[in-house]
Amino acid sequence: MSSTNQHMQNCSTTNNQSITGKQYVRQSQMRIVMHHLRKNKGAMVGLFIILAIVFVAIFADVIFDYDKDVVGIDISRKLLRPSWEHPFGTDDLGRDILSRILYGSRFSVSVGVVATLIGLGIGVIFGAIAGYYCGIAEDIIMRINDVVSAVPSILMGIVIVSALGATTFNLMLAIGITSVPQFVRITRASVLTVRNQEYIEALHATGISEFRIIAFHVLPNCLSPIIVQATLRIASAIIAASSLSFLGLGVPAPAPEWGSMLSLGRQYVRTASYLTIFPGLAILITVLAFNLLGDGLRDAIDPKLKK
Amino acid sequence: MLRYAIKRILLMIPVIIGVSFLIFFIMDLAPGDIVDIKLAEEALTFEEIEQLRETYGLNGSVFTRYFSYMVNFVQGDLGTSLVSGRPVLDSYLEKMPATIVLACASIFVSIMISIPLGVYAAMKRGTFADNASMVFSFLGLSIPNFWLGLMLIIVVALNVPGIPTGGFSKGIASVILPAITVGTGLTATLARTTRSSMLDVLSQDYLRTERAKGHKEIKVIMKYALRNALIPIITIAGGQFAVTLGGAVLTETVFSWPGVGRLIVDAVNSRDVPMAVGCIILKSITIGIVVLIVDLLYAVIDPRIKAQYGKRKRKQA
Repeated sequence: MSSTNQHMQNCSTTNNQSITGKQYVRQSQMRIVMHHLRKNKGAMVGLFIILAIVFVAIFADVIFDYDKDVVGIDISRKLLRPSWEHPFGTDDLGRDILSRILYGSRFSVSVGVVATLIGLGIGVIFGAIAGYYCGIAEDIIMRINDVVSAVPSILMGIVIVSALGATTFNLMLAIGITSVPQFVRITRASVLTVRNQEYIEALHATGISEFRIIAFHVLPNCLSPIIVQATLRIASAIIAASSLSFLGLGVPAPAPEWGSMLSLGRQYVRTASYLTIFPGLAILITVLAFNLLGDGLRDAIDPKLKK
Repeated sequence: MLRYAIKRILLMIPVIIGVSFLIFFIMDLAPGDIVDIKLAEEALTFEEIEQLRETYGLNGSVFTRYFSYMVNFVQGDLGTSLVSGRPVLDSYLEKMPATIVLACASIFVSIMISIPLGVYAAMKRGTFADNASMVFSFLGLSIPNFWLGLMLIIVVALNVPGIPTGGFSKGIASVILPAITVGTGLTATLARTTRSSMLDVLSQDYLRTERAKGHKEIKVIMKYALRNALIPIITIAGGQFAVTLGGAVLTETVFSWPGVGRLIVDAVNSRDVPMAVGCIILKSITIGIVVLIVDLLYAVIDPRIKAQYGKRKRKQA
């Protein structure tokens, strides 16, 4: 067993030996990918922005007093234009837009990430079963997949959230479910390429369970395209979450979700356009960052795709 | 080719059955129905409630109701709206012209921008122009289109006379902003696909031969390179057109566009199950048919694919 693992590790590493034979540098796949990624300026910018947003999201409670700064109503300062005191202005209830946008990163990013993890979890399990077992299991899973993907994702999201109720968790669940078909397809395709390799045959011969083979030996070798898809999917999940919130089907008020802030801003589009401009910019920058990182990761993992 | 088309249409049947059941089942999970909504508006007696439930066909299990819905569906009856009382098919067809106009206009905007952009980026690979066009396409991918719509309203509609902020009453002027809104998102993907596909073709030997014959570069690119790069471009453009034809929900909401997308959202919000299920089925059928037409278009563009259809036919004979 341990020797098989050792064999696999050797397969996934590139060993560089200098001409003198004295230096022995072992480069793991991860290190090679990171090396390519570091050279990609766009991806690095994306990563930096994501880290900054995640930092703000984590420490939002420390930076702001939720009850006072984020949801506290003060009619005396309603609809103030951007100024030094309120750089992004205030909304119709006198709440500071900058505080709400920064605090809102917590909602938008967490919905994007958790929804993607839900889609990834379900999609990878079913994709792995379809790809590994083939036959009737594959037929059933792929036909169900066809059905789910035949309904445009925004509509599926609307139907699920309106059926289950507009809560943050239901929003995550709805967006997660709409992303399942993509993960099923990608995982299945990757598993199909791995399942017939010799080391899997060798593992069968050792007599270990098929669950262990899939979980510990097949899936780890299929991770690259799944990681790329997940990163890109977080970007589209953030847009989907804000779209549903914009339609009134997302994070319930008074939580400062960017889509619901835009929905409010729409009512004041003629008189207070800043209510619309800044939350939208927040979505744009966050989505752009995830797209840049995802694109960079794809190029780093498979440089052949870099065109 | 006809056999292939028939086979594809037959394969759509189980998908449509699955989609209809899925939507029917999910909407059944919703707490409350149209009778509860009516109950909130006016006081009803127990008998009246029961009568309404019977009239709307809300009694019985979800499977019984789904079965009777599908029996009617097969006979061409998609039911009537629980809210307006109008046949679902009539309401859908009434909204289709606006949706078709928006879909055609947005795909036109998208093609007019993305193909020249993608071709130019591929020809100038690695230059500033290439990078700039790809940055543009990245931005297009990342902009939430409902926000872009609102920005266009703020920047254009509120400042340029004659461009309305919404509705479909002012003819071509009404279509400009919604078409740019939907088209920008499509442009991003299509420009990247065009660039990638052109890069594949530009490295082929036959283009060198064409250049050696003394053809002008523009002719080499437009006549020989672009035509061979068209298949992936048409696949993406066709898919996008199909989805837009099913209703651009958010853009239609932002611009108060009287299309299919808004019809579906309103139906879902008011628990109008027959309208929601019927529209989503019709939308799935529309998408399936457009994608099929796109697949068949391959044969028109690429004679090799047409030859393959012919070969299969000869083999069968």
